Amino acid sequence: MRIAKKIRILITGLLILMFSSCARQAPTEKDGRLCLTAIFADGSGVIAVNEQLGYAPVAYSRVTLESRLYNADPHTFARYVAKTDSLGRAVFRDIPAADYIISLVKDTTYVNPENGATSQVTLKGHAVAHVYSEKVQLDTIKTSLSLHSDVVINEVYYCGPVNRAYYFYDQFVELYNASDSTRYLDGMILCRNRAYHNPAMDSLDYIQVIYVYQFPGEPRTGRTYPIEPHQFVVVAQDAADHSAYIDNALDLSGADWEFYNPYGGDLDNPDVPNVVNAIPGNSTDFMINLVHDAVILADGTGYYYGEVSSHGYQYIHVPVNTVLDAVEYSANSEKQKEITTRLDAGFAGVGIAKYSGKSTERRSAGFDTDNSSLDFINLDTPTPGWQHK
Amino acid sequence: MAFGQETNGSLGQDQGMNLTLPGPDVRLDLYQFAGNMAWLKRSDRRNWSRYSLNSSGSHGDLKRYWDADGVYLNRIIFSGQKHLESSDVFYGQMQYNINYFQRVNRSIEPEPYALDPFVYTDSTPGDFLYRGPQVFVAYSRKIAPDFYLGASIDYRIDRGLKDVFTRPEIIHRSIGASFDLAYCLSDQINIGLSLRPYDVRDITKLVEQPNGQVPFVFRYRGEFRYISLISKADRTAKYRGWEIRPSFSYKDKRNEGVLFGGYYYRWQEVFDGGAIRVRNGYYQAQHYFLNGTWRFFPDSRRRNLLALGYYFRYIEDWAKEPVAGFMIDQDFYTLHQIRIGYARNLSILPLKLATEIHYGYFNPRRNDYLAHRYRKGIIRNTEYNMGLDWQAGRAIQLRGAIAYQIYKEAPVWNYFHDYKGLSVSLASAYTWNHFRLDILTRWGAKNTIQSTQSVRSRSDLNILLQLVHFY
Repeated sequence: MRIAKKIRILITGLLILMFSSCARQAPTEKDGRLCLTAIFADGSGVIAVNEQLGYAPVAYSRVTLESRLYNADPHTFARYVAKTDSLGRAVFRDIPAADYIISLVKDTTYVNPENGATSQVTLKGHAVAHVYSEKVQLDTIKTSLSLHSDVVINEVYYCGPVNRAYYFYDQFVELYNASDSTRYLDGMILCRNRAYHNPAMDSLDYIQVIYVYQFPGEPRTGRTYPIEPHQFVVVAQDAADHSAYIDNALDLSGADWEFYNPYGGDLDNPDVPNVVNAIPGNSTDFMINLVHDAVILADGTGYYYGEVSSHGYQYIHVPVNTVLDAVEYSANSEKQKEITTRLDAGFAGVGIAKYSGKSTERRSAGFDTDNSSLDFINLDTPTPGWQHK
Repeated sequence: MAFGQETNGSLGQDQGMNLTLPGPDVRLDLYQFAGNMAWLKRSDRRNWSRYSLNSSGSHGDLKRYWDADGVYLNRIIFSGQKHLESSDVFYGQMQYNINYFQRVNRSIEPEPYALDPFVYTDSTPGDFLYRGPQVFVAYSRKIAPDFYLGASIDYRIDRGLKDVFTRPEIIHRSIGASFDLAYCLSDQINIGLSLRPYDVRDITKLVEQPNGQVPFVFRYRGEFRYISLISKADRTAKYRGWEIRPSFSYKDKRNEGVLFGGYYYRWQEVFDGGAIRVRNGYYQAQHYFLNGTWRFFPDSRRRNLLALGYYFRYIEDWAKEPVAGFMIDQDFYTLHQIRIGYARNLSILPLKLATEIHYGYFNPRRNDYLAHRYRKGIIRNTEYNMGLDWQAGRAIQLRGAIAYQIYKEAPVWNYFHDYKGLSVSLASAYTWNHFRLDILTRWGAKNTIQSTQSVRSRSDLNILLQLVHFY
């Protein structure tokens, strides 16, 4: 009896163990069969509102859906392409569950109703799509006029190297020519935005900056300082080997250009050409904030002196229609915007702490949706003069 | 062979003649064939210690995409068995493994072709060196005239290093245990039950490279979809589960056989560092299996032996991504393997001749929902074996075998394609006083047949040196 009881106890124990970790139910929904529908409507006024629909559909336009997870090749995310129909609706079928960036780019002709003048404009609309159910609908994505330039700000390094000496003088801005044609830096200006959230900024035709540093040469027409197709140009705060002072700092002695302020006793590497401060009242070097700021690239025409602050600081106004590219970065994605969303709808550099040695760079060279939240990724190590892999 | 134990020098075990030429230390019983530790007490009544050196090498381009060109496995094993009292027996084994994988193609995890779809790779081929100890202990106790209890524990840890970018460190740690019962229903019939839980963890650690570059890695979900990223995060694959295995054995003067079946379960999670689980996922597998061997001696003097072996396994598994839980992969596998053998003891010589035919039929069906790839195709493997066992003298035993293999794979898989192989093995055992020295050598070669691509081949060599001391 004792043995039989032992056997029963053991078998019961084994059965309890067995059934206590029974198999899980297989998921009922299969991946790779999800459907995303997006409706694009124009918010710029270029496309007339359809009275029946009540909005301006961006019809028969190419829409790209780029995965934020899966790759088509080691350096490119998987992409899907569709066309909008007459309702401005694009449908993507049989896609995997993931986050996506959906983008529409439409080149069209705008006819000015006042004077009949025509101009070629580009409409762009973007959104992030979280596709985690069988059918996802994005209603509605507004398009706006695109700020178009072949030369873009490709990388910004601003937070300084890892150090306890408050050293951050190895900052740089990297430009990139995304086109197949030579462009010219003559007269272009690099600006630092005023650190201020202006509630009216989306309706102003200018932006307020506090630094204006200018490439030599004649704006728009000069042909002395080329930037070749797909070339990177590094503009350093100081073109020096900063690792001689701080171990983790960058060696920028080989930079292509150097910010130079002749009014402030700035370091000047004689072997590196200068991008010179254009505002005599400013005596500081091109030093940008270590956690939140905006850098603007403009064609160098039409900027003018604006108001003076209560502390006697001179603001400069740069016309929005002369801006070639703008990048606003912030460690905190919840911060208020300091530059109009017409130029940059998001933030680069979210999560980069000061003195962390990190930089922020476009996902791929020249990738530009005018939304730095989508366009930029953080790098543990800056890549001045080349694109991360 | 019993769970956790290594080779015992049996030609049959290493060559494929275990049906008809089982070898001196191999018995067809619940312990050695069905892996039931409770039967250890009844299986082998001797006390002994064993010292083994085993080295096997395989090299060639007949391989799958992520496989290594060369695989060199080396083991030093110390094992022993001791009956403590009339009712107890202990078996212990300590082993040190040194495994070298030459030119592994990109994979930075131990088993890229395990059935789960999550594969971790970088972009470069490189060599891996794995080293680490393994310990196995088993215990069996007779608790009633016909009732036995048993238990075992198996622990293994390996550390592997790759010699080039991305220079990962791979740590493989596995723990397994078994809890076993065995009962003698009669003089001929015995039954058993084993429960085997296990826990395995594979960690791939990446570091910043000497040039300051952060590693560039690929996380595959299936063979066709992947995520590429720049990351130093550790990647952990942990899987655990259990197996339950009832078994049955029968023996009389003319027949002996063992049959066991069972259920195997695995639950696997793959993730980065702490709680970040966006990039990998979950996997579950269920196996149902049956394995049996039967030997029949038509004549009372046992000069002739007819043997039959059958192995069946059915596997169904699925994997899901971690965010919304969509199923990314679902597979079904059916495997049948039949072995038939005949052996004849020659009356005029102390010589036994044997022949075996093995036929394997594998029917995998794989549904990769992520990549929209649905594949099914039969794989067949046929092997013809011939061998002999010669008691050359009172102290010397010699064995030899030759095997011819034909492997045919449906083109949809694109793994090995069709190939044929030939292997030859020789073994000897020399016994003196209470010692026995075993030496085994096996050489094999495979070549692709009728391939539209270039001819691929692979050769392998296995050497075992073993000293057994009986007390």
